[in-house]
Amino acid sequence: MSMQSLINGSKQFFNETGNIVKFSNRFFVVGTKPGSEFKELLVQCYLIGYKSLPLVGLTGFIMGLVLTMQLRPSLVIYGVESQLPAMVGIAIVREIGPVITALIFAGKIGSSIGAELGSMRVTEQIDAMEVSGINPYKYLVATRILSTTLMLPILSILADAISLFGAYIGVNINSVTSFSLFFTQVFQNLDFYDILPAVIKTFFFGFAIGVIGCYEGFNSKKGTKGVGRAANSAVVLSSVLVFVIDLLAVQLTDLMGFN
Amino acid sequence: MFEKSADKYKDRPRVIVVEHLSKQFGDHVVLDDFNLSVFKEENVVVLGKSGSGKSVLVKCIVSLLKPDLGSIFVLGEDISTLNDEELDALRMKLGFLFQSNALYDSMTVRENLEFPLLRYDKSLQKSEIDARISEALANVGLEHTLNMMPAELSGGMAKRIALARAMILKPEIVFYDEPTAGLDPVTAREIDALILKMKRKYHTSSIIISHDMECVKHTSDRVILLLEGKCYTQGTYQELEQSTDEKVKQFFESEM
Repeated sequence: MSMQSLINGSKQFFNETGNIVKFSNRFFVVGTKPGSEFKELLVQCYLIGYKSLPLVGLTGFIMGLVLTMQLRPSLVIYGVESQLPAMVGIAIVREIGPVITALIFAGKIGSSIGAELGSMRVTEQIDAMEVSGINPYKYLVATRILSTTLMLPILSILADAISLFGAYIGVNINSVTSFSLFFTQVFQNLDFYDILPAVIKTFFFGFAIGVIGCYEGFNSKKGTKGVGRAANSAVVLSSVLVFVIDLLAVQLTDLMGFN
Repeated sequence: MFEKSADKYKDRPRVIVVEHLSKQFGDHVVLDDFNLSVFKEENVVVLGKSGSGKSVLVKCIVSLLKPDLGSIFVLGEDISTLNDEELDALRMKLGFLFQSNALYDSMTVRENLEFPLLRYDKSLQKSEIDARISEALANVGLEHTLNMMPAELSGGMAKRIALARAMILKPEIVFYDEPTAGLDPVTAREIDALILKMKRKYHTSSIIISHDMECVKHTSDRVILLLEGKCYTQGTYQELEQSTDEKVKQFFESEM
């Protein structure tokens, strides 16, 4: 790779990052102004939150079940099989539940927002809104970003619960453990500082997925190819951001002594 | 040249004034020191080859694109000095018919028409909204499409619904971007008639972008020929039709 292409690549990266930051800043300016699009917000919460529940629930259940089945043999070797509910509980609540839910959410919602807004952009529907005196950022973008920010934490908590139920089923495949004993063991080993940072970071995951999906769609160009690119970039970039935010969250909670 | 063409309208107020407008994309100069005035209730057709900057011109006027140089006054307001709210308020006095129609494809015809109305005046009663929607659909003769989706409409019907939506707020100025592009000749002439009907009924001023010479002939009060980013010449359709200038003749001869 030549020096020039490296410089150009870096320029493009910082340009794009700057544009995304500017785009997300508009959310705080436009989204907090009076006359919000409350009805559209509710519609988006329904589409983004409620409609994602079956997929998130199913993946959460499988995740809990598989995690338990994979962990058991190792714990049996060390003679700590009784710690299975505690380990699975901590892993799901602190890390796997929020991150896997966010990744599923990025795939389903990030791509759908990117494609929807991208298609509206290339068919001039966003321009039509703008020339009618309707602020498309407020109507299309702010409502979607707010919905993803509010819905992902709720979905993540539900996914955690369903995942723990999956883990309970997993535990009972090879042994018999009562429902109350399983969940008593799980919650005895969880404390407030396991749950709080995990919930807080899902707000950031949701915000990032909403911003990236909307940014890619809103700035889509070059016809149907651009729409495909917008949907694809929305998923890739928001998935990477989920991991980056997760890394920062782990470092931060570590520094604050929550780990 | 052709100064008489504006006589009929020149005593009326100017609703659009474009001064020394320049716009380029990269090294490609699209508009170069372009000037234009549109008078009240005047239909101005901007004629030019594909890629000559006609759409860029109207997109600059409605502030969808920012000009590099020059100033644009719409209904007496310098659009470069307006904040977002002021610009939105001004845009509610404008209508725009897109070449692609740009109907909201996830909404029914009714919702397409209702959407700008609800944001224009939140105090509107349902009965008033219904009346405005019925009037808009009656204007274009498509009352029966109320609950249809845009995907269920033919090209001509979609164009008419887009026109109804552009007119729903009873704008003072309407922009038509290639209103007859992609339509059969019969439907195209129906659209021409609708453009004239809207002008008569709502006293609108218009900028029409077209290279359909029949549309130009029927709808224009004045024609502006945009060449190489500048206003090459202007006049009535008849004046330009009789021009001996080779570049002007090209447009009329290609039609014949």
